[in-house]
Amino acid sequence: MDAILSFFGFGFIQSQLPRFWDGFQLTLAISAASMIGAVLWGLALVGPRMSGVRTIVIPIVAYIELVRNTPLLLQIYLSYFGLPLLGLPLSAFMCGVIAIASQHGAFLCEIFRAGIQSISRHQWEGALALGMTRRKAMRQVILPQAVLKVVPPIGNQLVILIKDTSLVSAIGIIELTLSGKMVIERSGASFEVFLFIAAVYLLLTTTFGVVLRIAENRLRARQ
Amino acid sequence: MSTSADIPMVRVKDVYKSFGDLRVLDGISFDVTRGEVLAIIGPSGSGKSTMLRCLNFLEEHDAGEILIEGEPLGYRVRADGSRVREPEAEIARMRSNVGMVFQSFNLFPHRSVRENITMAPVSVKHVDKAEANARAEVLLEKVGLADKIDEYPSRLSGGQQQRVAIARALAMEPKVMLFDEVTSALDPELVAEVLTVMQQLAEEGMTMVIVTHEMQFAHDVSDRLMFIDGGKVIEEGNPAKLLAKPKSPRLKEFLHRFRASFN
Amino acid sequence: MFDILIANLPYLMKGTVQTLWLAVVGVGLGTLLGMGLGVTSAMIGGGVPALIGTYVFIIRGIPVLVWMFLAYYMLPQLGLVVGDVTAVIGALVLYTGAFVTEIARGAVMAVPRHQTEAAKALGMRKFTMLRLVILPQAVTLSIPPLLNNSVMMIKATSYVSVVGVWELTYAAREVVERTLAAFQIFLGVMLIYFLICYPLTLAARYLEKRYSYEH
Repeated sequence: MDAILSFFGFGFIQSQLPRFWDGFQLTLAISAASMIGAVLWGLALVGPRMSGVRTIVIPIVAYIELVRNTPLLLQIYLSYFGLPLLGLPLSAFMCGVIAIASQHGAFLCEIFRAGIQSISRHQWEGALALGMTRRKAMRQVILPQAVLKVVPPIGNQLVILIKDTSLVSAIGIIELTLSGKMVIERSGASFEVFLFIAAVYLLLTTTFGVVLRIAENRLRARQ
Repeated sequence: MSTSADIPMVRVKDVYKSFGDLRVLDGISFDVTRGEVLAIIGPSGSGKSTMLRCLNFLEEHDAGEILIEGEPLGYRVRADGSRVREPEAEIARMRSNVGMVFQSFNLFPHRSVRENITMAPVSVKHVDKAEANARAEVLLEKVGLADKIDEYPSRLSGGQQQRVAIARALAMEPKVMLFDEVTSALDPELVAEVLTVMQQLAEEGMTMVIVTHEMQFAHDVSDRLMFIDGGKVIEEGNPAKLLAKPKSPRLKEFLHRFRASFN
Repeated sequence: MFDILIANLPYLMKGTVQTLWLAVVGVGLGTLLGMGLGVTSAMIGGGVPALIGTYVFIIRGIPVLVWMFLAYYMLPQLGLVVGDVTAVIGALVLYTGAFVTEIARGAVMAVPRHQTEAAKALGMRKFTMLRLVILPQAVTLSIPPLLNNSVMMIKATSYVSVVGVWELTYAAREVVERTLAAFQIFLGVMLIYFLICYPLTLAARYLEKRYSYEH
């Protein structure tokens, strides 16, 4: 870290590192919480979404289309300003996580669905012919294959999720992006601060991407 | 429920099935007795594959009744003639008594050969894992693939995959085995190894229903040959007689065309 | 029930116009930039594709909001541009450009090789081949992903409000802070975005489907 910093000559940034470190940790925490929430939410949606029961499918599709076709920032505002009005005493952190998990869960649901649909009818028949119920066939035969197919698009989606956590700066959570803005505005530092912030994000998303690719290769190697 | 020999293993009673406006099965009826090997032949689109898939409820019949060892499959017909769909668990239980081998193998690519074979016995029939394993080894020995037990399906040839698929179906200890054009997707030089396994099964007394294009094989292995066209049984009987002296014009034409394609 | 939303609709409509303007300029210019870079990267050898790839990698690995802040603080300090709006449009253009580069490059590469071989066999030179054979096919392929990308970037125009540039989302926050009618206003504004984005999503889906039937 020191070498990189002195290479750019950013002595000032070095002095502000504790602030950025706090922000970075919050970015990690929001990313992790939102990822878990989004994956669980996506999994919860995909069953009903594919149930074929119109009264269930229609509201879910409406919800998915709405959150996919409107800005996440507005959904964060809605969560942050709206949920307390419903009497839910949630922290800004929770409101941000709920909004991010809600939108990315909707995207993930569609990714899961595409993965399940890509497994051929023959696999269903093979499982059913062995006397498996649909639930068993789904769990033991279809899902394990679908998971492998959707690992790359899920990875892409989660990288977008990490980047999207920067938006919670708009509701006053001092994560990485807002910590940069605050340093600039409180100490009159110049734009180099944001070059540094950008580099940290690049490092974070790239590392995450590499880890995912290794995990994917491990999974694939088993077959 | 009596399982005495007078109850046929499979009974198909006046079964109808349509896809949209197209009637595929047109009031078809037949029995398969215990230990019998029935071969079904017919032109493509005759309904023979649909008939076979109905015997495992992968296709649902629109009307009529299908009984496996006296027990109704998929639908129960009440005294007043109305039908009640069986619950899913019951359908699954019935299916576990009927083994099926597909044209496209349908092995599970994410599981090893061993796991493909032990998966259903363990998870459906709750067979002890060690026991299922031992049985898998015996079955693989039988189909000549004992050395492939820890391979993944993608590393096997088509003929080997199909033999694993047969072992997988046998692992459920089915009362009857269905074979749906199981050699059609294979390269010609791999057909024999699969037919040999099927012949062996027939000799052991397994009840089998075979849909096939392999006329010679049908002749050699089956006890009874059935010619289906337009969703109906046109002619059936002793395979040698039927092939040598077909009575109906449609079977004559079918055999004529079939032979022509080999000359 | 929607009284506050209705009362503030004229103001929000002004914001909508500003949002549309940002979208047309930012996403439009970005798409042009990306198409140029993408086709260049697919057609030219040497170090150029690597250079373009680096641009795509760096832009895409960092949140668009951070690019907006960076542009907002950096460009005026360097004396390059004057005005916040120009700065954030610069960020939108660069960001859109990176994604479109990938789409355009992918579309050109997806034209089957036997097509270029047939064109070469007919004696076509590289530029003729590009104009007559490759681009017409690549354009059909790339329209659905370009539409999806436009939807993503239209949604991203709302982020300029965080930097302090006035448009629809900024206007919505102003109204909510004044009236506290969070549900009415934010849901209403979401609906406005939805009406802009959803037709594009549907068009992309329709074209994708039609294209997959034709092949």
